[in-house]
Amino acid sequence: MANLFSVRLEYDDDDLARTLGSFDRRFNNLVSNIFEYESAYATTWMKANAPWHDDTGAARASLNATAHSSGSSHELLLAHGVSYGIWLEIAHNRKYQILASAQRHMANKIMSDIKAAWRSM
Amino acid sequence: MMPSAIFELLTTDPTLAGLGITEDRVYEMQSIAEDARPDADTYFIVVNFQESTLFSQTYAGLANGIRKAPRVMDIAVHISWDKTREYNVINRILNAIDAVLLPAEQVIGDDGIRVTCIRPSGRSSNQLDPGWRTTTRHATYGILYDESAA
Repeated sequence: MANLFSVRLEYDDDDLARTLGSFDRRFNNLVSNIFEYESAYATTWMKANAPWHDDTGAARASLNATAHSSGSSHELLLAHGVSYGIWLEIAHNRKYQILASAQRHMANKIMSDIKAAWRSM
Repeated sequence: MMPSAIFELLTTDPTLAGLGITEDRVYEMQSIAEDARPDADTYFIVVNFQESTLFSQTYAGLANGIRKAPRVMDIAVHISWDKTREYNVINRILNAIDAVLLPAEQVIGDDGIRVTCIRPSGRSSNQLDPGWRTTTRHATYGILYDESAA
């Protein structure tokens, strides 16, 4: 039977080994950059979407997101900066909460970013 | 406003009625004035429709994403903490709500809005609400509905 299809692969062993060897580092650098970018985005998003009416503006102004990366571990911390932030999150049926909404929003956004980053590698 | 199908499902279920959840014990969050606790001396539930965040595959670089995302809905069960700090009945009410909502598909309410499907997204820890002074726990759902079904 005749060959109907054939594939010829040409690659440089050293080049392939070098690329694969650095894959983890390059991908984690990319994810770190995503988290850094999204921490700024999350801070702005929370300030824009916090559902309470401001008295002093301190609670809204103090909302913040911080990215931390260590090796293949990445985290985004979402936080209030005023002592009564916990009250806003849990009182009155969580009427004034912002962290839970931000967590859902940012988790979706970051996963989309990571999917796009994976395809770009 | 929540789709009326949700309210109708929650207020016509005999198991929930047996647990004290009748029409006057179901509130929508935005219908509650200011920070006041609903005037209920037994168990009551609060339905809160939250965000719908669309991150279709288009956002991630593909062109075939569906431009529709589920709406986040949470349902909290409350009772005055002066009455009880036990969670057994609260959990039974949450289980009964699951039993009513999760099988619901293509349900059209009095307002003509069609609820396509409801999926569970988890439950909170046992909590105390210091503003309303209640013992409370809530469940979160993702709900797809169609406002142009009527």
